[in-house]
Amino acid sequence: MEQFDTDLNVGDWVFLTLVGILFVYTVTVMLSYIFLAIFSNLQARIYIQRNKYAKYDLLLKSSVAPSVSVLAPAFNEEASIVENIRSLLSLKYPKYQVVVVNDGSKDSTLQQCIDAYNLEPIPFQPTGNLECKPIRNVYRSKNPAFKKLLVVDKENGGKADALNAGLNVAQSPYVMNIDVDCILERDCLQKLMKPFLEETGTRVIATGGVIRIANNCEVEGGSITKVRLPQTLIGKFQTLEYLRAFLLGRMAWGYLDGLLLISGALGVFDREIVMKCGGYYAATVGEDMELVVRMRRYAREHGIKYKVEFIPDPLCWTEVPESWNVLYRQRNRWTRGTIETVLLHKKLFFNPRYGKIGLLSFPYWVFFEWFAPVIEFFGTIFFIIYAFLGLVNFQFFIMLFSMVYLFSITISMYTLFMEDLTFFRYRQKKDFRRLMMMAFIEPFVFHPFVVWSAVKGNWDYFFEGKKQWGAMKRVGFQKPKEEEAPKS
Amino acid sequence: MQMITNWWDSFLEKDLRFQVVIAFSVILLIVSIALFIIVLRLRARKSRADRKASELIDQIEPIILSLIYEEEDEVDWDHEIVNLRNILTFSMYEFHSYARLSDYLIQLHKQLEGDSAKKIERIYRDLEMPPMTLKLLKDGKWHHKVKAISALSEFRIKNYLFEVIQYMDHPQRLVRDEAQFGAIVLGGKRATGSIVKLNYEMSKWQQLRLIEQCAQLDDEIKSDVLSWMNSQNESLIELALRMCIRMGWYEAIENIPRFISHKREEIRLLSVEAIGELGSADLISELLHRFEVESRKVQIRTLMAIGELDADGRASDFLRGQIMYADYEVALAAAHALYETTSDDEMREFSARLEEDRVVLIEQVLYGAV
Repeated sequence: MEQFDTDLNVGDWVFLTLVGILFVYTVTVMLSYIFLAIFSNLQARIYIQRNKYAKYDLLLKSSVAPSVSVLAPAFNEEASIVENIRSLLSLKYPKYQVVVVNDGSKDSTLQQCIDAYNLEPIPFQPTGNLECKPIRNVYRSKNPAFKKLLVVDKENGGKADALNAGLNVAQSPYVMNIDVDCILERDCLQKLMKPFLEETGTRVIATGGVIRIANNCEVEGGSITKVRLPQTLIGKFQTLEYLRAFLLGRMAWGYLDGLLLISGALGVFDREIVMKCGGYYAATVGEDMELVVRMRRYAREHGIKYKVEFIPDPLCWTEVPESWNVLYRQRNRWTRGTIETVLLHKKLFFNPRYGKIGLLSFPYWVFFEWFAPVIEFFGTIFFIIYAFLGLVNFQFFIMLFSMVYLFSITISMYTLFMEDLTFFRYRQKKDFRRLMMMAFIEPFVFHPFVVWSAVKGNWDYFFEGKKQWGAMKRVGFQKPKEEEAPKS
Repeated sequence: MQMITNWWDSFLEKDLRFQVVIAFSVILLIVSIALFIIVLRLRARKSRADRKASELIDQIEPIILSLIYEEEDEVDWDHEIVNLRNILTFSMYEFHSYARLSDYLIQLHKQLEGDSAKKIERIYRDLEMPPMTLKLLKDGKWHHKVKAISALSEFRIKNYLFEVIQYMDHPQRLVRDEAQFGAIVLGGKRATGSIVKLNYEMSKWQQLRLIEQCAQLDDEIKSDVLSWMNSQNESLIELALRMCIRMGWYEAIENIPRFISHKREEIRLLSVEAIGELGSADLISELLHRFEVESRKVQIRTLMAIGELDADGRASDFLRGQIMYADYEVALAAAHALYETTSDDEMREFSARLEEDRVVLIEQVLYGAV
């Protein structure tokens, strides 16, 4: 005991212990980012080499291509539903059906569909047995040109419930779940289906793709014709954030086959596995992640040799919130979704029975996705208190802060490097300059806001029992300049 | 120099934690600056490469298009080829013009047919690109091999068939996939005879590619395809079954029933489908014999096959039973099968005896709402 016999009092010990924990945590976070950067680079190279000469068009002519049901839940989408369905009906894939699930919309979403596509109610018995709110009617078009379209009208039950209804109605072995307001690349189904057909000896149970930001991009005929950065600061921050999340995080986890999240905006799933593991869990706000975790868990527990694939091509473009208030609600919800999933599947935590998922991906999500903002928040409070008490060595603090800041910039630079190395979508120099600028400002403006939203998400989950989604106000996509009304 | 020395001395005077943080900060600063420079250079290089590629294409495109679309005599043809070579030699090393030209010709070749396509193949040969491609195939990394085989098959360089065949069972999947496809394009029946010797599992994606290519060879390769059914490589059995279904080869039917109890589900599915497409009503009893022990997927496929085969309604009682008691997915498939073998009136008469949810299934089938 002699080595502990020092002049330090209890307060000093507490301080040093907390500093030590924070230091170890910070170093681990940094190391994890470095590893993710390395793995994402490897994955990008492998993917590009493997798919550079892939002849996707072969699928279009093939009679062997498996059929896919595209499930698009819609709630109060009257402004854009007709156009969005038209876009879905023009995907390049030989065998697919589009199942639009009207989740008890209060506006004229259903009527718009009926009028635009000449729909009539049909006798239909869903073959799936997932629990969902009652289906009122199933509609099909009288016009053979829209024979791929099926519209399901049901009572409101939320996105997961609508997707379960869609799964019950779908009749294909694969389902693509999307957000109806996203803009999909025409060939997205071909690219997302390829892994299912390509693997031998391993069953691919799900594939996900990259989501890019559509705000301020030019859209024509349901396709992105010109890629531009969003006009608002908040939109630009999210562009950088999305690039980092998809080109670094998801790609690296794809390489490690440890992906736990396929975005609800775009993913293809093996319907049989989805049905067997019970479909979407309607009582969570993070249904997309929860389903992937459950599917992986199911496959593992049933001895299925499986894989979840990630496609780094930008296949889906979505509108992101451009108001701080809506962004706050979205991030708050994402946090609550993560917590719900983690707690639902806590059995996986450091459980060697679940292999990489139990020992690597799941603990990563717990420590670095769930805990990170909380630890950062309390670390800041802890720092402020000790600064007031005069216990902080400011010279050291500034150096430490500079190091973390430089690390953040390095990671953002690396993300831009990956973007240019792979898909090079932001070709304009001014876009690149702006993204660079965002990398410098983000740690002071956007990041603290996201941390606060996540901390509040934790608070709301544990102390307020909050479950609902929250609305997102959409501003709509940009039309090409020629179509814009002349200004007076 | 003095400044650096002073800085270094003051660095050494600091305590360890300062030294660690400063060292990390300096490393990060250097890395971020390096990344910044790399990104700028990468962007510049990509933009320059795109510009040079379009410049190169601008130069060669008119000549190539004139060769394709204009009636040139041999002297003019040779003259234009020399012109092309001069342009390419000039910019060959700096801008990877071989690769650009190859990509351009491939793209053009895919868009054209008949004489125009043949002329592109001749341009490719006259520019002496096949030996360069062969060098890439032999010495390049795996993805270069893929590219080389793809080019050789696209331009139908048949005298390199032997070289391509050697890669058909290559350990790297994409190389062997491309080689199998390329060999069939270049050698036709000569290559399909080698497929039976393949050891590596073939993906569905690859089967899909080969089916479309083999289909062009028609009955010429029937005996080879039937021989794949005896292979130890189970993916070849799948390929053979798919080919038989695709080509409607009724002669294959005597080999197929043995696969309906195969351990691999995909083979069972395909064999049931093949029986439905190529078989006769005599095989229904064999299908029914397996029905109860099958997975749901195979059960549904079996019901579809029965629908195809059961012209005289000998399985109608079985189908009615499935409609009444099986789960919805199977019941719906049974309703479809029954619909194939009975009239609308009989279907309606039968539905009168069913519970409400089952009636909807019949109505759904009668409406054609699937």
